[in-house]
Amino acid sequence: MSRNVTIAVAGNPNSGKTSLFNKLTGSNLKVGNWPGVTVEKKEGTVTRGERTFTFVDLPGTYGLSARSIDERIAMDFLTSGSPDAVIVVMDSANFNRNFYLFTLIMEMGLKVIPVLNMSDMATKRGITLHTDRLSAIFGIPFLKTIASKGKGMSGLWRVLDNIENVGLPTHRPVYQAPIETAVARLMEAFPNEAKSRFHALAILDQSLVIPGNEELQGMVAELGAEIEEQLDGELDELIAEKRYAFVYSIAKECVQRKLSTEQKAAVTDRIDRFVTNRYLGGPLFLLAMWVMFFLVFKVGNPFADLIDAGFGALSAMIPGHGLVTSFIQNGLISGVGAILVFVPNIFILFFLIAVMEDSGYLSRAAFVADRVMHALGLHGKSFIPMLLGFGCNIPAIMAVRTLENRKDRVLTAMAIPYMSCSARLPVYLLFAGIFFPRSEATVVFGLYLLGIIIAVIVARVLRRAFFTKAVSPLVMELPAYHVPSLKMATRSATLRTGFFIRKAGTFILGAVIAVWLLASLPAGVPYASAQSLIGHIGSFVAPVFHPAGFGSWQATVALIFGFLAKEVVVGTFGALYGGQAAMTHALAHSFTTLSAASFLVMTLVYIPCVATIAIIRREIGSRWAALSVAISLSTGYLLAVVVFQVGHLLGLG
Amino acid sequence: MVLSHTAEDYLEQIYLLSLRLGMVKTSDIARELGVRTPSVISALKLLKNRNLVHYERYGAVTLSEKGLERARDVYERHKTIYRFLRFILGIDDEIASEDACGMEHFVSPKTLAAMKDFFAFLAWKKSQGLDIQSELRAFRKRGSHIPGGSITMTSESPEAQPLSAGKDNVLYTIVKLGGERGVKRRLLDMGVIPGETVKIQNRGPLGFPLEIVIQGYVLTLRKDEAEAVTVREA
Repeated sequence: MSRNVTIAVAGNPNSGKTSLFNKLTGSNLKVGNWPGVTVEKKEGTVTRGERTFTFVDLPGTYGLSARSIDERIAMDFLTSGSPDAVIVVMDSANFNRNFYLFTLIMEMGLKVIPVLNMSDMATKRGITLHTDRLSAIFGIPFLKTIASKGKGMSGLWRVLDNIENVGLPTHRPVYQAPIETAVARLMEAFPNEAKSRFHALAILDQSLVIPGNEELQGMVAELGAEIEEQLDGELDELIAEKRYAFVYSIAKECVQRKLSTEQKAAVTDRIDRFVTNRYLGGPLFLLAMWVMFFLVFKVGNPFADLIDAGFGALSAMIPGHGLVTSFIQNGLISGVGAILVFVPNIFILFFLIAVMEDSGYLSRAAFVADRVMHALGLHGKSFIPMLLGFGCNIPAIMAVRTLENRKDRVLTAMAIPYMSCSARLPVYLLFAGIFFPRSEATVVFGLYLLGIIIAVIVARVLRRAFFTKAVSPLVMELPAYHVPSLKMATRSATLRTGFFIRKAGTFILGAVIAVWLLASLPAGVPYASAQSLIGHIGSFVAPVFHPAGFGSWQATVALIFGFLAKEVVVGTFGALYGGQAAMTHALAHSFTTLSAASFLVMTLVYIPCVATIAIIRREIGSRWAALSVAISLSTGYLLAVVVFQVGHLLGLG
Repeated sequence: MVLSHTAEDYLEQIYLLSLRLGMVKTSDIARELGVRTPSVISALKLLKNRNLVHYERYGAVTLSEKGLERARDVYERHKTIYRFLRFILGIDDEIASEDACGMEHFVSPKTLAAMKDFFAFLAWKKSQGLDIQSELRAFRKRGSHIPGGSITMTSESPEAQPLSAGKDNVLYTIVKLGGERGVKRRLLDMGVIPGETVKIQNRGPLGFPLEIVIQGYVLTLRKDEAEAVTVREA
């Protein structure tokens, strides 16, 4: 075998695959996306003597069909990524379901290295796995590991170092005669499509559909109908039943359960008596959400403020007054500051998400929240990202990664920008303080509520428009609880934060510099004045906002600056009107109560900030980011106009 | 002493229970056969003496290699007879099952082979476009033509119901899966397959989603997903 070896790492979710992957690759890690889709791809290289191993972490899956993105990625890589071998990580305490995936991969005709992970959990639950018997049956080494503790890794490396001596598995499921005949016929007639028994079976039960090949489809339809008639059942059920029967027969010989099973497994049940209890589950969930929100924002924000202040101080240290100084201050430094200011929130959030995921609580949270979220057209797991949106949209949108289904990810990410983030609050407070002194709280509450309503409507409309037939099931495993690894959580948080800085950073920096250019050119004009480019744009665009009641160029410029971050709207007004006191006075004159209300609605709804766009683009793609911009601008504008015009008709102006 | 059930019954039951539960206790066997635990224990002693089972006091009951072979053989006979009664003769599920339990012990190899032969014959005729089975069904539906009118009509088992209508903490056997293809695929991959046993363990705050136990782990299902799973009380 060549000096470069590619090893795919496959396994069920919650099988400890990530820990094993981390233990294998150490810190030599590359995080990116799978081509064409925004599903995280992790790759690590390790050099041992003469040979370089490249480990590719496949998405955690239960099966391999073309019907879910994660499974499709895994299947495609196993089919055409030509890995030299596949490590199949299995949760020892959940032998049947995990071994089923192993069976599928084995049927692909690939070299497999089965790893029975979390063997300590299995032992605790009274389950003994006889790897010697498994090895004897399949003619390949079966390994036991406890990846979270690094146990069994040397054994795995020994197999990897001698990978050329590992053969193909010698035992496989046998299906009913008509199915076997159909498999043979497909493999003979379509060797390019039915590359292996797995592929032939997948084509047969239509979990793999090869579009455009009518000859093949015709043969599949014919064979399928014949088999279903002969065996009096549906093909997908028949095949799955046989596969599981195969798994049972292996389990019967190689898995031993002791009497103590029930007592030990009860720890999880006992916790769940409270956590997913019909009456206690909801309140406990809300408590957990409150704690998370508190930690991410109340603990994170002082650090963010510190970073902000640090960059402010740094900027003040730059001497001189010219264009260059201004570029360094308002372009570079505030640009980099605008990126780094999100780091504390993002880091804490992903640390907590990793802890919740690892401990097993995340899926329980989705279980508790699903009924309500599903009624709103979203998924139980959408709750956390939506909630985080009240703090800051950036980490919120990054959190859509916890959703398995792409449609849910897209819809949630598209809805989040309408959740009123904390950066919008200073604008609300400023205007409510001036124009609604007696009903400040009601106005602010109304804006938050309006945001939620718009978010739900946007999600529903987009579901109707783009994902009509989309079903995103809540067929979700509730894994046994276990103590989360803080080291892994830190690692996950570091990776995600780094990903944000690298992937969204340039976009944010570019936008800050672009706004700086607009505010500073032509050379010599006062920063962001009426004579600057941005001032001209403001004056030019301002009439558009006339129907909404705020047609001044200052308001438009403030909104443009608001792209950078919503709270900048306040600062911009301050700068344009020359100080806090003058601003209050000027605002009271240039806005009426009604136009203030429409301006607030506009502020709530239009593009949250450039960083949000950057992260939507990163998480779900440029076209969705563009659509989000279009929807938020048009909705914000229309609502502002409606508020102003209807108010006017009612004589509120 | 006389056993209330034959040795074969015991072997078969241990085999089936071990498939279902993974591990068999004497109390499981007693419950399943409807006898008292002491009778089970004395029966197991006899089976142990004949090297058919491994069994220690208060321990798990497992089949020896020889016992396993015998058990599989009995169960194979049971299935063939049951299928013949149920699908060819159109006998009700319960009666077919009960009769098969009795006949499996004394059916001759020749009769069994003839039954299997008959299945093969039907499949062969069907491949030629002659569906004898459905003609037979149609013949029975016309009722009056049945000589003596003594054959019970084939009907769907009455207790089949969607899992969404199931009660908590009751064991159900999965009969059939329906629903959208992607969801069905996912269910099959996760081990929700016909013949498997499920139990609703818990529910979400508003009655749904469900928390079910299958293959020894916990899975959640929304109401519409649970509706697509047809079950029968086990």
